[in-house]
Amino acid sequence: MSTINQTRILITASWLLIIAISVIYIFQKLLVVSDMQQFIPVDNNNKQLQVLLHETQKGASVNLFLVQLSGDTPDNLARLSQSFKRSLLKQKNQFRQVLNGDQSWDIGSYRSLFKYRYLLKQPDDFSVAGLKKVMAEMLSALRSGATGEFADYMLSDPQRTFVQYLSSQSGQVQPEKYHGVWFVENKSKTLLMIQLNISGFNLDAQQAGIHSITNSFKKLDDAGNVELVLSGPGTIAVATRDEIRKTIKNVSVILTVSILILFWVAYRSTRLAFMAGLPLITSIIVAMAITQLVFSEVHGIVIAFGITLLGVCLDYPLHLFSHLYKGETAVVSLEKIWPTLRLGVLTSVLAYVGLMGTGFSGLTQLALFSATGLITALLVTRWLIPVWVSADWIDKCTLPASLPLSFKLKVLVSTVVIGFPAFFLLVQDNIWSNSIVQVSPVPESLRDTDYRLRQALHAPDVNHVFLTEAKTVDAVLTKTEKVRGALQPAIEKKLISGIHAATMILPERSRQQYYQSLLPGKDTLQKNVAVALKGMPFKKDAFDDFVNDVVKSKTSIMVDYQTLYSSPLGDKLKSMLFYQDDRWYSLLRVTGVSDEKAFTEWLEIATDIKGNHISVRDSTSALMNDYLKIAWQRLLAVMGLIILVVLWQSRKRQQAIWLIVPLVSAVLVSLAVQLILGNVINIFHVLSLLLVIGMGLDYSLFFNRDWQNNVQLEQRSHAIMISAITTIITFGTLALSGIPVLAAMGQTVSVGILVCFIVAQKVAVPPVSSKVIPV
Amino acid sequence: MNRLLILAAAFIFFGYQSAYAMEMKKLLEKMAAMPVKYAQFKETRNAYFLDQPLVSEGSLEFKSPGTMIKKLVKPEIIEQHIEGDALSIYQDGDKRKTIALNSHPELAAGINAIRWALSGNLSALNNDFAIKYSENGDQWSMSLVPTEPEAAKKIKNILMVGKYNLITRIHIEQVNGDSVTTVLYEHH
Repeated sequence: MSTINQTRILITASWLLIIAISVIYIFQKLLVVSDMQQFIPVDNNNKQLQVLLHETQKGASVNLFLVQLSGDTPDNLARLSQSFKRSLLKQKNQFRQVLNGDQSWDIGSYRSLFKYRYLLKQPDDFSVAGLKKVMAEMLSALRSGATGEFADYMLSDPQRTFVQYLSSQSGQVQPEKYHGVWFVENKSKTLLMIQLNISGFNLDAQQAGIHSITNSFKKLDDAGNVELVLSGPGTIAVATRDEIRKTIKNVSVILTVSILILFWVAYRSTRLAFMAGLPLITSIIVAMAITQLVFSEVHGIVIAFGITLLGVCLDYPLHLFSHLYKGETAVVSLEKIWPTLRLGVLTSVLAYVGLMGTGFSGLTQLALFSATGLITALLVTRWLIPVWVSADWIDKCTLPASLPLSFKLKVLVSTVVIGFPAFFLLVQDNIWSNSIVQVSPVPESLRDTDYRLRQALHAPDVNHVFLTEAKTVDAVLTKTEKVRGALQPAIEKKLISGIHAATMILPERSRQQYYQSLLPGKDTLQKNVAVALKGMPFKKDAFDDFVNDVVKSKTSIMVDYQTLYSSPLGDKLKSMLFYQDDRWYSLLRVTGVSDEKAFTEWLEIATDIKGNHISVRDSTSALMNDYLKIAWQRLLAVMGLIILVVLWQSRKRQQAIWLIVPLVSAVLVSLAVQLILGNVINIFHVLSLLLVIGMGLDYSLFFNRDWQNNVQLEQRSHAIMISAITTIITFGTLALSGIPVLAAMGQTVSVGILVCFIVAQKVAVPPVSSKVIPV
Repeated sequence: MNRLLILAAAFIFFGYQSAYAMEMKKLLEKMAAMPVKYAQFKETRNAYFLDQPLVSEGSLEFKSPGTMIKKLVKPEIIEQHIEGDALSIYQDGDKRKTIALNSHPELAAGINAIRWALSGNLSALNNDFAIKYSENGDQWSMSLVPTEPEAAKKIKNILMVGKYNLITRIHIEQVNGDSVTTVLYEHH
């Protein structure tokens, strides 16, 4: 066997082995996540925000769907709401709770809490008059048709203490009711709140929940013309995931199609297209495997964007193909361009490494994914492709190469492409964005709907929260109650409509003890009951259970958080009271903030609770601002580094200095275009510019190589043009994605590369060299 | 011969039933012919925790196909509006509570038995109850056993007794022994 064949087999076998190992590993271990938290910065020093973000993920509201029905008469909508609720509750495993205003408690499920009712809520009047009153109410209820279940309940809790306790959990304010069901906007729309029967955030369960809800609704009679609007963190997350998947699909398809077409046009060979695909496919597989290995998961956005970034890998075999000569082996051709190729890849990898440690765990993952992919592609191009490919495969189309401009023209062009955009940017004010809303993948319409429904249902405000912390549960609850007390004036002033606090579910010990002290002794109570029963048709022993329960409560132990955690109120309590890093935290939420400004002003003077207040929006904006600054600094640092290196090189070779122009111009024009499009510059734009520099430098370097004759020039341009086209097409596809993060990156990179290519072609190409250049 | 006897017995048995089925159908048609009905009532409620029955009096108004207004006047004033699926209770002038009948099957059973009988809705009655009907001259009696499982858990039997095309007595017997008897008079 000839040496060439031996080498060929050895290399191909090694390559196949690596692919096989990676694919098997991926099949077994790959975990794709779509959690947007990874693209929201987490500052390790800001404990408060960390706690908040951590719990926002686990809170009960995470699995809450808000539903609105409209498009029919109030009577029909009310009926529909009830039958819809019934239909959903039949699917008990999926839905824990469906609220539509019609409050009928399933007391049975709260059995564990029932016996503590006199500690959980301030007991009522146990005097003879008080007892007679509730007994009379019970008789009224029986006369108006109360069910047997209700009667049984009232015998053990005639003052309805427990029902009052449960009612206070739904919030003090509710939308108005008609036919017992919640209505808003002048009875034109009815509302429901649906709680999924899962703890924590699970995207698949959310999606299943959404399907069940919409299917159950369609199956109802008279659902006819009624419109259903569904909102909640679940709908938003699912929409995001769908959008990510769509983007991945689009990019993959367009990439494949455009490659095939281009290769046919450029080389008249589809064999070559297949070969060109090998580095790309290898790089994707290896990148996924290694990322999974290091992070134990791969984010959906990393895959989408990562594959797009790796589209750049098509460039490497392209450079080789365009430099193949009949009469020499591919291996030789490769070694001629190897230094340039290598430098180009290494600068790209350097740019990606610049993404690491920016504070976004998602971007660090992306950096690893891309860097490993690029290096893999480089190695495949270096070792595998040349042993298979030969110049005989190619029938290159000829592209006219543009000749370099004169020195004077180069200076002119440089001034224009740098000067104009720089001037444009300097005269803009307010180009920077630190809003996290910009970064969120949620389409505006969904956000608006969610906000509207939340306001209507008096669901807790997502922006204003109050945080207290302490070493023990009871200490943090005591602090919480103080904050709640301090917030009462805000309700009176109508700045907020209500408060949700952990102490409303679990009172602090001192309050429980106080409630206990209000309970009467056995003898007193028995006497009062006996007197109250005179003249009433009840049997003498009808309220014995009630008396026994009160007596037991008088000496009972206090209710603790564990009892409540394991009750149906557990999830709600967990979202407001939790243990982390050796401390207990309690979150108070408010509802119905009608006037942001007035509320913030009031908080300024409420000095005792000001320290507990967190504005989630403001905190994250401040954080985004910090990261934007860091990213911009990094960008300038990388550019500065490259300029320094280039200047150093230009001591030996003056022409290298022109490398700076395309890069600077690309950055400035890309930013300017974003502003013209009406976008504000956010951190993902800045990070994308790092990529533009890395990839653009690749083109500039190849254009900057010395040349002797037109053939060499054409060769060079040929490769670069094809790779530029593929890059621009793939990033252009990304630019159209529905996810703002991906669209921002796609737009920045596609514009940047385009500009870099054009300018490099005009400016970076050196005048014809008198030296003998090996082809 | 035996086979013929059995066949004949079956015929008579089922024919007997269907004869009554015919009568019941006729009765319901007669009741449906009167879209608005009005009567006074006296209601007696027995419960295991009461040592005397709870008595109330008032008036009952029915409007086809399913609206009922029950006004208690003795010993206190309470108004009940039943429309569609909603039972609204008014006391001291304000609406105290609205209950969704479909979420409370045992309550719905009693109310629906009356509503559908008064509106002559035979198919609805057949849907929700196992019915035994018998006649004796002008008088008839209908025994309804709820078939819906949740209602059947609580309600043993609803007995409706009447004369001509009027209901004179409704007796709801619960599984735990409690009962409610409503006597209707002065129909017009």
